[in-house]
Amino acid sequence: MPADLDLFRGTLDMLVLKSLIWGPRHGYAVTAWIRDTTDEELKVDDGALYAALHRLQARRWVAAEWGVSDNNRKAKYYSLTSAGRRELKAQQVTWQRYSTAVAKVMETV
Amino acid sequence: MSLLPAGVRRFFRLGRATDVEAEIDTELAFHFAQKVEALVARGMSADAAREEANRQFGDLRAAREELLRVDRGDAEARRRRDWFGDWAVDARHAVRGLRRTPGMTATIVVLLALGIGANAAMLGMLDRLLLRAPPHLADPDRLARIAITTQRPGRPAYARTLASFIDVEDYARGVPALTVAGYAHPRPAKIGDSDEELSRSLVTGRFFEVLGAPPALGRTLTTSDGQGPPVAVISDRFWRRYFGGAPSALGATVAIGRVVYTVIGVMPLGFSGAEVNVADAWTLMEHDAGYLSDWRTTRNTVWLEIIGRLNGPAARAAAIAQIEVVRRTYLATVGRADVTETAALLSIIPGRNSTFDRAGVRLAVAVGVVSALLLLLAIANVTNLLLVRAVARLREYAVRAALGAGRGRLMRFIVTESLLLATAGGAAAGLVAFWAGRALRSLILPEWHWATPPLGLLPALFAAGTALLIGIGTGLVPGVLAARESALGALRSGVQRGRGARGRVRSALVAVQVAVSVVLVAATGLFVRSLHRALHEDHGISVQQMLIAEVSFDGSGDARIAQLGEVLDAVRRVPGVAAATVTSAAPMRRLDFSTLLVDGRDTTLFGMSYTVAADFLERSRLRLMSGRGFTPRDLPGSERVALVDSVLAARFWPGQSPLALCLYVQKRDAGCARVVGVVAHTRANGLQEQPVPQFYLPLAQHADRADYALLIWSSGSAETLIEPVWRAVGRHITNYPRSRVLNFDTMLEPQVRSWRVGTILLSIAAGLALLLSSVGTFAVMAFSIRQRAHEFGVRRALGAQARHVVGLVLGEGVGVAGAGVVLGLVAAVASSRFAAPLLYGTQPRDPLVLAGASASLLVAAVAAALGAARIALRTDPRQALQAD
Repeated sequence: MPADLDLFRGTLDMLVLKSLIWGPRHGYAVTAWIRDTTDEELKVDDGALYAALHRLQARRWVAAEWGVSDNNRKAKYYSLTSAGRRELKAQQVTWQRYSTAVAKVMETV
Repeated sequence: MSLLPAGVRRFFRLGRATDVEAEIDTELAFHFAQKVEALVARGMSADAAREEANRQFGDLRAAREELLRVDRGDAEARRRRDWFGDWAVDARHAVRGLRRTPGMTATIVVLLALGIGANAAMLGMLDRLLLRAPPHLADPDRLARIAITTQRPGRPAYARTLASFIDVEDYARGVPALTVAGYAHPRPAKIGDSDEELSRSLVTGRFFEVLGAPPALGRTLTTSDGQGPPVAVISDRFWRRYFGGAPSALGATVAIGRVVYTVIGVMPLGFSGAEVNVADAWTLMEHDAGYLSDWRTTRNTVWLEIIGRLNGPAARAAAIAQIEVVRRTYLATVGRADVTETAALLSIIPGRNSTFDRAGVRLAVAVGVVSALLLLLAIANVTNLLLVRAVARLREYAVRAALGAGRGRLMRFIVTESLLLATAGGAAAGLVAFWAGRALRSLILPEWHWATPPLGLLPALFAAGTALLIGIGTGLVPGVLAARESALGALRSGVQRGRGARGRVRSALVAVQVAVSVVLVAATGLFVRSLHRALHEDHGISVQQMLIAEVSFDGSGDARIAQLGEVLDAVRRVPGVAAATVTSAAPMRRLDFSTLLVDGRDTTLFGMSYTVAADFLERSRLRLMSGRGFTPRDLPGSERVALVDSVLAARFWPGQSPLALCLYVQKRDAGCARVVGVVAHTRANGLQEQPVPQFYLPLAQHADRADYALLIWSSGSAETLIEPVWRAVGRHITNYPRSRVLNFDTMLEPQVRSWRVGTILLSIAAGLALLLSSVGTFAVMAFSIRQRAHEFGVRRALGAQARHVVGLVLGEGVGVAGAGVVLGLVAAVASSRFAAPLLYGTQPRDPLVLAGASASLLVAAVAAALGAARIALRTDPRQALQAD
């Protein structure tokens, strides 16, 4: 097992924003998607993901609306706002430049 | 996704803020249910799945706390933003709505601008006139005018601010410093080489010390100046006009009458003594030989005012007691213990006294009341218009209510709208106040220097505050009604029916408008009558088309008389001159006083003296009441004679004929002047003066004067005679200034001005009031008829004649107006007490005026109702019935 990655908050936000790029999702779907795509490599508590979702909502990057889930349960659906979409794009660019820079350093012998 | 745009959702507040905590718990419960379900589906036992879900979630309590914190903060921020956002949305809606009805919007803004603006302007003016001490006085609260009210048995009490100065000097126990100031009178003056006229106030040496008024330049008068050569202190205005504001004015000479004064000081701009009394120069009593040498001791100084500076609040009571003791002692010594006199110390701030003694000040008060009434009228009208607007949009409000807008929200919208209107009105009012302030100032007190700008802080605050109050107030009435109506579910066509509460409110508003209009129209009527009476006043002598030419002569008595005769002949030969005669003091121009005594009485009287030509009575048409007038036989060698007026006769010889009795002028050893006739009293000084006794001496027997006035009557216009008369006199007197020939009507104008200005302003106000109340009546009627189209339709369908419909509408309109007229008459009669001092020779309850005002309002109401009835007749019965 690799060591747990200590993710800083900004990266978590970026992941959550990214999870909503294909349309509105409820909180459970967001947590499940992040677990599945990272193959549980990122050990993030579901509670922290919910906190991120609510924080993003307060910053108007994510909008929330109550709806009904596939199995007919009342669920809170989150969706990206246009501001959220812009934010995600910006964070992705920053992340790429950062990881490229880190990779360059690490690849030198 | 929402079907409605965010703005609309917010506007109708669909989906209220819900409990943050419950939402979080619902969300988390859903999460755990889904998670457990998923884990069980992968083959876990229910218990293990629950444990795993908890493990993956982390610290549930800490997470829940964090979510609550974030959401609560968010909800709060959202609420704040929504609140402001709602205002913005409301304001946008309101602006759009107001733009759709530009006529009504403009009407409301103009009404408010005029109403608020006029009041702000008046407030600025009244503040300066009534509520403040004149400028440049030290500690004005300690200054006081001494007033004495005399009550003679069987006579009405009368108050005066004057008494003999020597007495008052005795009062000094409570009042440490006293001074006397004479009212400023225009006097001919010579500045350098040019003949001018200046308004001079005679004062005592302590005048400037008592007032605590420092000079702007040079020094002020002091008591020790009385022993030295004549000196004068001049006003800033006079200094700038004649000396170009140069310091070299100090030491320059100004001749007033025959006395040459040296200018020693200039007062700061706006200094006017202790009251609104505009003077160009102040000089000492001691230096003016033309006035009485005994001004100190005479007990009848009607032209002086005594001002004192008090030590403190305790000095007030002591001073009053002391003055009363002195007066009582004096009255006892002259055997008039039956006369009671009470003293009072009046504030020099005009608004603190119960009486206002300047026509301009009184007029300003009147205009203030009128503008307050106009504001009331404007508010009533605006409220009415907003009501009309609200009622017309009940359907829209009902839709909003149906979509979830609460009552508060609806009211807020309506109040936002009226606030917007009031804000626009208030801003426009600022402009109106500025311009109206300037116009009113120059109209009401043109000679007065205004130290403050036309739109000061106080009027501006007033305009803003009133606009805000009106904005909220006028919006609340329709707001409450609309909220109530919409709650009743006016979505159905039920909007169309009934008069209900809003009908009553609207009718009441119209009644108030009519009432206010009655008061304004009645006030206008009273001012018109006052002006008419003032212009056609009996002056005792004929003043129609009269000119005054003032002349002065040097040389000895006989030479003067000869010269005067030549000038008079020259004037009489001027084409267009119907008659001319000579007097020593022309009416409204000059006052000469003398102390008078008679046989068998200790008391003296103070009388105005006139030295006149033998033909004076005949030319001036002064009424002879008994005895004879002067004749050419009343010569220096023959018996000295005098004429007295009816006032003097009644004072000295009540119930007795003065003919053939003796009159002593100044002192007994001056010798007896035999009274040969009694004449009518003439107006000498002003239209509103208290009658002061007058007496006449023949010119031939009293040639000791240097200054005379020719009274000249024109057969045509007096104005066109000024030029030829000036030329004719100029042929006999070198350097005769044109300014000494005056048209009496022009001279009288300042005195008549208060009624003329009052008439102009009130006519405008009353015209506006009539228009507004007619429009108000019409709007109410027309609206109620539109609302009752159904009823009228049924009536017409059932065969009601046109005249029935007209009768119905007329009855309603006249009913409302009638109630207003009754209310207005009650108000007019109740307030007549306050109007009385503003009028001239007119009763404030003049029945003709009150009847006229009532009639004009009723006629206006009938006209408005007839206009509305036409709408009722045009209603098509079929259409009205189909509308249901």
